[in-house]
Amino acid sequence: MNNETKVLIAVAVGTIALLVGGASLFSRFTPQNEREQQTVDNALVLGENSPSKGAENPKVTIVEFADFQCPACAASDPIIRTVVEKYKDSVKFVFRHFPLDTHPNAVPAAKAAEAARLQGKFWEMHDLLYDKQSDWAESSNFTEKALEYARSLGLNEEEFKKAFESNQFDQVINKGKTDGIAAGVTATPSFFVNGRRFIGGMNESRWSQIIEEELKK
Amino acid sequence: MLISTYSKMIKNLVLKYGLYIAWFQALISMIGSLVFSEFMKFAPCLLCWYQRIAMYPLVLILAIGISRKDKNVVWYALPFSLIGTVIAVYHNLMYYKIIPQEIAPCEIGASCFTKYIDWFGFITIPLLALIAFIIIDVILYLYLTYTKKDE
Repeated sequence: MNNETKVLIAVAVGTIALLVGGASLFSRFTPQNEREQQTVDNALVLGENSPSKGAENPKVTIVEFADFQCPACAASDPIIRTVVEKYKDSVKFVFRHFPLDTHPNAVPAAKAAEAARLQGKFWEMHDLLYDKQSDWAESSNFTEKALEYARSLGLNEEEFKKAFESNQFDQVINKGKTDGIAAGVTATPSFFVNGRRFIGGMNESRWSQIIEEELKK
Repeated sequence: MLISTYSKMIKNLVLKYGLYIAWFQALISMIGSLVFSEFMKFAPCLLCWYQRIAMYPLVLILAIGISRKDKNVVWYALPFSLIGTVIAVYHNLMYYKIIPQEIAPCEIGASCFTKYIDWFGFITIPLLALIAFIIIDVILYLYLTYTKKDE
């Protein structure tokens, strides 16, 4: 190995060490919670007349911004269902649409959930879409899948189809996106727990911890 | 006999046209990826960007090497295509779910898992990138061994 090569290797190793060291120092002195958590006004994230479930007079309000075609949202949803059920007397869960541009079937899926909502079955469609995400996510004929799900939920197919194919939900879906972006949503799922922002899914024990913290306040 | 004829043929081909083929492959990949992102509006994901960083310089490096008749150009080009290959292999392993990935949140903008194209049921953008890098690797490697033997 000649001298030039040795110098090059030494400089490269030194630079890598500096960068990695600097990055790890930065992350040590800024706890993860502070980097991702920020508090926003609850009114901003709640939206008007958004689908919700759980307590009527909640101590804790969880707002989720989600995309039905996002695998992370689908993975996080069963945990949310368990947590909301566990704390149903004190927690209200609100769903906001945040379909990402990279998911071609996300907006149609959001429309399907809204069309089911007109017949009082938003959460049934919501759960079904997540449970069967892999069946429809890459489908080139989502409408057929949506109709199949509507039938399986016992919805009036005619009405569902009319609503699903109309553009009456464009506004509520777009409002979800603009409110989300204004509140600092950069990825799905994002959650606001009494306005505290959490980006990405969390496990059950972390959820319980956050909810208990809010209940104590 | 037959094998040695073939290997001679390959050697001649590589020595004569190898650098041109590698350059042309890099050029096609660059133009192709720009068509995907700029005309078809598929946003490139992070791993795609890293692969672009490895692929785009090859177009210039190989072109300059060829025009200056510099046999050493392989030494400048091969590290880029090898680094690109490593990233492409990693991307494909995740893309085709051969190595499990943690369920990361879906970011606004491009995801490394979005299937923008799916030709014949298996050809995707990450696969095209991997094939391109491998073609360039193989040609440059053969060129390197053949030119070394001749020295």
